Amino acid sequence: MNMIIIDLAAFTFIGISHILLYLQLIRYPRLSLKLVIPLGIAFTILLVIVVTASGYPEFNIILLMFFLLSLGLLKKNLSFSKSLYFALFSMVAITLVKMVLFELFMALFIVSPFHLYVWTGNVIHFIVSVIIAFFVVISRHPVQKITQAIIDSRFLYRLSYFLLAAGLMILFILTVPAANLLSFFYEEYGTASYIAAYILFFLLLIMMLISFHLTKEQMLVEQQKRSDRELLDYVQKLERMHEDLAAFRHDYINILLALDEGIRTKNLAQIEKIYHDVVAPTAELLNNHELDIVKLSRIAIPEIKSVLSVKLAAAQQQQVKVLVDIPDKIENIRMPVLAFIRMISILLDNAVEEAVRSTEKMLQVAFFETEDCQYFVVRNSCKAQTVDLRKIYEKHYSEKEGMRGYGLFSLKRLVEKMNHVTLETTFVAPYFTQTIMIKRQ
Amino acid sequence: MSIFIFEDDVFQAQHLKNLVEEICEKHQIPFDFIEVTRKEERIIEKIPLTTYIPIYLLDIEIKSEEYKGFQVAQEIRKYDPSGLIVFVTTHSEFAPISYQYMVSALTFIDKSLPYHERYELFEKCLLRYDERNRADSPADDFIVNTEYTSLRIPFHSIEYIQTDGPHRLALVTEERVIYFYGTLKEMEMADGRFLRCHQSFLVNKEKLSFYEPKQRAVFLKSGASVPVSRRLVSKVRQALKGE
Repeated sequence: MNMIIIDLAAFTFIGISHILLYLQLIRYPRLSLKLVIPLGIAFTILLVIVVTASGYPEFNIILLMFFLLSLGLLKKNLSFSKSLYFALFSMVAITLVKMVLFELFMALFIVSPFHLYVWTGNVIHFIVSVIIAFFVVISRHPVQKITQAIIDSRFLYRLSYFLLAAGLMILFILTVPAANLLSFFYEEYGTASYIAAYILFFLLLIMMLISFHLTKEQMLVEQQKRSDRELLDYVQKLERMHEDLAAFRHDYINILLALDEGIRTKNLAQIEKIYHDVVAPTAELLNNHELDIVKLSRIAIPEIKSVLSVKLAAAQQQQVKVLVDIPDKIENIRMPVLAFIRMISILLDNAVEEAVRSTEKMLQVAFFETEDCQYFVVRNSCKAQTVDLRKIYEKHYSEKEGMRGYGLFSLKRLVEKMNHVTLETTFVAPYFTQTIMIKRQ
Repeated sequence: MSIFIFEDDVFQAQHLKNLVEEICEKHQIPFDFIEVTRKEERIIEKIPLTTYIPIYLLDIEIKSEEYKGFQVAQEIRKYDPSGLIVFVTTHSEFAPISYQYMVSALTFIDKSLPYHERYELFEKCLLRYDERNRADSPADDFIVNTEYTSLRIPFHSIEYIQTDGPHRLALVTEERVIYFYGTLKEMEMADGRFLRCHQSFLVNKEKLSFYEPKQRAVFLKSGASVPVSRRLVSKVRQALKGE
């Protein structure tokens, strides 16, 4: 009886790992662990009932396949071939790993001085399942990256598709099937399939290693591309501003000519008219804060400059009035640059989102240092009349659906890691201000 | 009490002086003199002559020197840490945040605003100036200056300070929250005006309103509530009676 419970637990872990891995592969993060675990348990129980009732172990694989494919329907824009590929990947990879690990552990156990009991196999099965589930949970990002690399490289994709399909066949044969045709295969090619499974395992492992290598290179290329693109945006922005300025200079000469005429004829009414119609509106042009973005050149840290220029340009495109206040050169930042970029990205994303929805549509960014502190200030107009300043930093708080609350929560977590960083939040309707203060150490 | 106006355009300077005089008359704000100048030395020389806290109205852009008014403000701060500084400028390309922080300026007034809006802003500043000079203890700032943080907050605005994780504090006022590094013990030692009402709360005595035994919490004038530990109830009651 105990053994059955242990086996059932092991199956549940494996079932959960299948579902988790598949969800990670199709990049569908919206099912939380809390949901996946009961789902896995329910599915395992269903499987056990079906398999014992029907007496056909091959239902194991078929049902799992269908279950995973139907989970794939949750995700939009996922083609069937991809969904099938990921389902195959999840099934074959986990089953093979389980098999190899099980054999390995058994072999180790036999070599070890411990006695072999009837239940040893079950316990090892359980341990292996737990290990697999654990690794599936922690290795989310690398798995996604590696599969992405495989899919991007056509050759590897096709090759692995073929291998996985072959793997599925082997799995079918190895489940000790009851259907006539399959059981014939099992008796005939059982040992061969076993060996084939091992070969397949190592082939897939090698492929993984290759694609892991590929992802690294690809990431470098992508990063390069992104920074090139950002630089290009920045240059284009500068060019546009220069054109605006040139156009204004041209207009200005015409304005002077018109005024000159008025003054020559001492026609006060005409001068007044020209002033109101032509001269006064130019004040607005001069106050045009598009030019503000040029001040970003005072930041000597290229990564920060490019993040700021991209975010601010995006805000301007959404008709937000952007004011930039960087009075002096910023040579360095007194914390890890990456952490700082994460912080300001969160602040700016939230501020822009909020400013777009407000009536004033205003965003102000200041970056400066005093004798002993560096300040980064983001101020935005906002729609809300009241804001609970403590609540916005809680984990699941959100003004609207979306990741806003979560962003601020991780911002606070980042700040807490650094003793010399202070975070200040002020709300005086309709302006919301957040300040990061970094003390010199 | 003295008022300084730093402006290089004669007409604007005269106009601003008239405006200030008008407001002062309206609210009967007394002053010793209004010094209108375009030379920063004149201001620096006259600082020692001032009684009480002066107010400085500074134009940022003087004779096409973009930062002049700002430099003058920094110079003033060397001699007068508590005077009110107000920037008056047309240079709207420069947003005010950094100036406000760097010389702790009171505010920033745009010259190009319509007359009545500008009037209201100056009125507000001068009333604040008057209030600052009347108050018994003008410097009521709560100052934290440690290895890790530098804060300066008007004490009367603070509601309470709470622990927020290991060595992390949250200082709460009605309109802002500051998360910084420190311990409640340090804060308690730094300023006697706080009342320890809970293991992890320091409350501003001036803000207390009433104690609610059922929730074991003390309510503040703003409506916020702060928990009170059993051990410290008597102290809170005492503080409430003392009011």
